[in-house]
This record gives sequence, structure tokens and C-alpha cells, in this order.
Amino acid sequence: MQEKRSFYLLLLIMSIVALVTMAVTNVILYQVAFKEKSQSLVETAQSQARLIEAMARYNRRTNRINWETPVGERGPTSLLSERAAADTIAQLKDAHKHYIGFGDTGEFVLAGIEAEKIVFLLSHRHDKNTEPKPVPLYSELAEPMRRALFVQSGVMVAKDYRGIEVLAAYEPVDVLNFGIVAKINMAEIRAPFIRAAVITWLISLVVIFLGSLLFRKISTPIVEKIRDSEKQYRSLVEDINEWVWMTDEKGILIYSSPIVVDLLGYLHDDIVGQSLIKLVAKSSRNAAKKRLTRHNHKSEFTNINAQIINAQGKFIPMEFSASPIFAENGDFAGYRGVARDISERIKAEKMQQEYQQNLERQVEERTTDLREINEELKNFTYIVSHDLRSPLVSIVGFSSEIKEDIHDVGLSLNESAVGPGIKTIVVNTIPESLGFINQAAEKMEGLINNILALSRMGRRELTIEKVSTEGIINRNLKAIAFQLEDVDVSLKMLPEIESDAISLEQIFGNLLGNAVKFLHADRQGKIEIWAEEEQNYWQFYIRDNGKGIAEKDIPHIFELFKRVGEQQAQGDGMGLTYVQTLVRRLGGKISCESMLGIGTTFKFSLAKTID
Amino acid sequence: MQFSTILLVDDESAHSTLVERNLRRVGLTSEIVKLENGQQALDWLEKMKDKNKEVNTPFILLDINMPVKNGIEVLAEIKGNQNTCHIPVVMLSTTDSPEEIEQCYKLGCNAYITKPIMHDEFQEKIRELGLFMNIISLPKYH
Repeated sequence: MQEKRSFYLLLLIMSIVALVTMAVTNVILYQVAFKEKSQSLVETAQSQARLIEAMARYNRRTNRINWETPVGERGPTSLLSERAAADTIAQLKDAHKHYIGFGDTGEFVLAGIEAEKIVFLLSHRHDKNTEPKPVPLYSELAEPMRRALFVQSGVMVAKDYRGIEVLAAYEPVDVLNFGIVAKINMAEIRAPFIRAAVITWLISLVVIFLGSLLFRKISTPIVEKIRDSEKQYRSLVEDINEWVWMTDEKGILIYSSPIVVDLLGYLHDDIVGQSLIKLVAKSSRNAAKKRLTRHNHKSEFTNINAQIINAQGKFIPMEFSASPIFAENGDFAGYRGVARDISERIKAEKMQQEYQQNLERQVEERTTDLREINEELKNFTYIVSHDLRSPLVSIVGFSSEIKEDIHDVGLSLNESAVGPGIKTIVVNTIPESLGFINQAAEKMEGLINNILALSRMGRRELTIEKVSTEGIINRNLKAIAFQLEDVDVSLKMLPEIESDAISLEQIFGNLLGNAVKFLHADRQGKIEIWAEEEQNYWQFYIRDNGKGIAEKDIPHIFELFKRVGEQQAQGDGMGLTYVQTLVRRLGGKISCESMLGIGTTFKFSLAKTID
Repeated sequence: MQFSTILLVDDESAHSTLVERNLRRVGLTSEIVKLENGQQALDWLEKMKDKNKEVNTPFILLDINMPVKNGIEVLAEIKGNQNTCHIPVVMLSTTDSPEEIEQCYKLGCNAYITKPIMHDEFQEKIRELGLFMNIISLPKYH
């Protein structure tokens, strides 16, 4: 609708412009033509006047008229003059008969004054046969003739004897006291111009109309393209989840994307024209004012947080980013930017923070727990090394004392006095009992020492250095070489790692020792040792074709003092517990796969580097 | 020449009895005073100093794990005091914890003996100790 109106308006404006242009040109052309016509009329009138004067003089001379005497004073000779004048008029009339005039309406008029009237002497083209009727000397009509008769010369636009507007050149005719007027109807002069104006105007109207149609045809796709692109950008701006806004140099919103309704509850039309600064919570309003309006600031800003008051008066945390806008002359004109609601993010951050704190607290608690446990373990070690030992010292000590004493008693005992039973008790039974006590104490001491060793191993300071696992294994194999005489041992892919050499020595020593110890007596022993590289650790394998471990026993092999299967080999039940402790300390894990009668594979990982 | 007095400080009377018997077996005739904790040992030293300045310097056998005042504290006090630092102190303990041994030597103990559980070893160690005490003599206790 709007577009159609614009089109018609365009048409109208162009028409008016064309009209005005043509009018101006026409007027100028008309003026020129008018002037030319006037001049030519003047020339015609004057030449006719001079011609008539010449004719009159000639006639007077032939009629002996004293032409030098003014008309009023000719006295008795005036009759002659009258005749001469009549002759001249007759000649003129005769000449005039064959003269149609110029143009469509151009003609000469010759007149004199008779009894206060202007009397026309010649017939005219507008009334062929008769002369026009005389008109009163003083009237609206025939003004040019009047002037000519009053011996004036010139050109003017006035009414002629018919009362029609004409352009007339007037000239007095001396000698005969006539006036001559060469005139043409104004209408005739104007006609071509009016016609030209009408024609050109009509043509230009058609041209304008066609041109406009053409323009519309050409411009419509362009306009549509622009409109589409504008639509795209608009939807881009309006569909994103962020509030797009624009302020003027005073911080007044001059644009707001419609999402503001969802974000802040303000209607688009309500918020545009409002000050963005006033939407900012009081606490940071001054800062916002400085940022959005201060002329010397004019810099872009990103991710500035501010509390924004929404339609319900609540504070919404928002994050703003914007760039300044400058007018064409370089003046600061405001800001254009985006803002997003960050409540969710803040909530998430808060939760994250709480979670973090919680985690830290938990870690701290656990660390404290661990420290306490470690402390307890230390105490435990002390208990083992002192408190468990102390009673043993007494038990063993006094049983030895008793043994010695009873020995002395036995020597001095008179068998005949006490009887053979007592003697046997003193000499055999008691020492035997004391022997068992001693044995038990000895075993107990062994257990205590093992526990102590394990506990100390767990707390020993590690020395981390580059260690060749192959070197360590070879040293271990050398130490048990005498047991390996008939055993097929193969080493493959054994790396250099950063670790504690003593721990490694003990791990491999124990595992290799076990592998050899439990080899099958009926077949050739075979031990394979290899490693596989993983991302952060090496996986080591020690496989034997020995007796294997029963499935039910596998879960217990790493337990302290546990010895599984048939007890044919020597051992304190400490080795694997020890190995597990060491592997764990080196950042690894150990596991075992085994089939009774087929063989066992120990698999353990070692970190490539230890922090 | 023997020490006139040996202070045997151990809360475990069984242990001190065993030590005493074994010392006697190697022919040690000195007076053996058995005390049950560290504080008693310090009190004894204090009392002796007041009573008789001319008394012979004692030889102290000190257990570590004791109530009231433990052996390490007593050692520190004796060796930290100008008047008593010359008194020989031998630590007698059931533990063989390396940290503890190191600590005792740092504090100035003259020897550290771990009480062996096996009686043969125990006897041997105490015998050596007794013989050692038989040989050396010390100036009088001031």
C-alpha cells in the first residue's frame, strides 16, 4: 500500500517537474517569439506608414497641394488636399483588395478621425466587403489606433476595433493624418505555444509513466533483494538468544531486539526510548553511565557484568559487550551491543565452586584420615618391634634360665631318692617342653621381624632414577643361577624406566624366586619374562610352566603370611605381600593368572615415571 | 676396678632380672640398683649428688620404652647437663628401629644394645657388656 502510494507520488512529482520545466521553456520561447513578432509588426507598420506617406505626398504634389502647410492651416487649398487624400485612399483600397494580410489573423488597419470617431478606411479580412464600423475616439476598443492617431508610435497588446486582444504595432501616417496599425491576434501568437505545451506535456506524461513503470520493474527485484537481506539480518538479530541493543550518545535505547520481552519482561515499544543506564542496578549505575556516555571513553568493551532491573523489579545478572558508534563527522553517537542473561551460568559457577570446595574438604578429610592411619601404622611398627618383642625376651630368657637350672637339678638329682619318674621329668620332659616354648618363640620372632620389614619397606624413601629392568632381572637370575640349570629362561622387550632400583630388585627377586621354587618336577621348567608398553606405564609379565595355583587360592596369595597349596617349599608367606606393597608404592598394580598343573603368570604394571 | 654402682632402669622387671643375672654370671660385683622408670633414675642421680659428692660415677643401663619418663628423655637430660654428661649411658631396648638408634646416638648415648630374643645371643651381649664394664673405670662422680 505504502509502496503504491510512493509510486503515485513519484509519478506526480515527476509530472509537476516536467510541467514546470516545459512551462518555463515555453514562456521563454514565447517571449522571444513575442518580441520578434512585435518587431516585425513595428517594421511592417512603419514601412507601410512611410509608403502611404510617400503616396500621399505624391498625390498632393500632382494636385498642387502645399504639403508644407499643416493640415489645419491649408485654407482654401484644403479641397485640393482632400482630393489628394481621397486619391491616396482610393489607391490604398485598390492595393488592399489584393492583399489578404499576413498569417491567419494579421492585417493592416488604416483609420482617421472624423467627428470624435475613429473611422476605418479599409475593408478588413474579418469583414471583406465593408470597412469596420467607426468606434468612438475614447473607448476601450482600438487603443493602438487611437495612439497612432495621436501621433504615437509603438507596439502593445490591446483590444482592437472588434474588442479582440491583439498584438499591435501603431504608427502615425503623416501628411494624411491617419494612423496605421499592423496587428495580429494574440491567440494566433499563443496558439503554437499552447499546442506545443499540450503536446510535449502529454508526451512527457506518457514517457514519465512508462519510465516509472520501467523503473519499478527494474527496482522491484533490487528492493526485494534489499528487503530480503534486511529481513535476514533482522531475523539474525532477533532470533539469537542475546539481547541486541543500540543506544544514542546519552545512553537512551534506540533499538532493542524483541527478545527483551523474554529476558527482562519489557515490551519492545516500552523499552525503546528508555535510558539503558537507568536499567542498571543503582550500585553500578555510575559506572554504566561513564561507560556508555563519556565521550572520551568511546572504546569497545566485552563481557562486562551488570545487574539489570527487569520489569518485575528483580535483578538479572547480565553480561554486556558493545562497540561505540560514530557519526559521519566522527562524533560519538552511542553504543551498539549485545547482552545475555548469565544467571544460569552464575548458578552453575556457584555450584561448581561449592562442589570444588566440597571436594577439597573431602580430600582434606581423607588426607587427614590417611595421615592418621599412617601415624597409626608407625605406632603399630613400634608396637611390633617393641611391645611384642618385649614379652618374648622374657619368655625365652626365663625358659632358658629354667632349662639351665633344671639341667643343674638333673645332674645333682639322686635317682634312687626321687624315683625314676621324677628323674625322667627333670631330665627329659621339662627340657623338651622348654624346647617347644623356645621354638614357638623363635617362630614368633620371625613373624615379628617380617611384619617389621614389611612396614619399613612401605615407609622407606624411594630413590627414583633410570633403571634398566633387564639389568635387574639378569642380576636376580645370576643369584639363583644354580637353581636354573635345567630351566629355559627367555627375556623380551625389557625397558629402562624411572623407578626405585631396590624395590625393583625385590619385586623381580621374589617373583623369579617363586617361579623357580614352584616349577613342576616332571617337566622341563620354562620361565618367560617380557614387558608391553602402555600409555603411561609398562606392563610386566612373568610366566612359568610350574605347578600353578588352585583357583580358590588365587584371591589369597597376596595376603600376609598366607601360603597356599602343598607346602613342599620353604617360605615365610611374606614374599607376595611384600611384592604387592612395593608395586603399589611404585604406582602400579599386580595380579595373577594361574591354572593348577599348567603354570602361573604374574602381571604387574609400573609407572614410566614417578612424581 | 669396677663401677661401684650400676643403674639398671627398666620397667620390665623380668628383663632387669635377666640382665642382672647375666651380669653377675660374668663376675660383676658392683652394686646394681634396679629402677622402674626414667624419673626414678633422674631422682636417684639428684639424690646421690646431694648426699655424697665423692660417690663413684654410676654406669647407666637404660631401657627406652618406659612409663612416666622414657629412656630417650632421660638420656637427653643426662647428656644435656654439664654435671652428668660424662656418665656412661648404654641404651638397652627391644626395638631395633633405625630412627630410634640414630636418635639415641645423636643425643650422646655411649652404646645401643638391642635385647635379642634368643637367649644365647642375649647372654652373649650382656656378657660382653659386663666384661666391658669390668675393664673400664671412670673418675669419681662429682
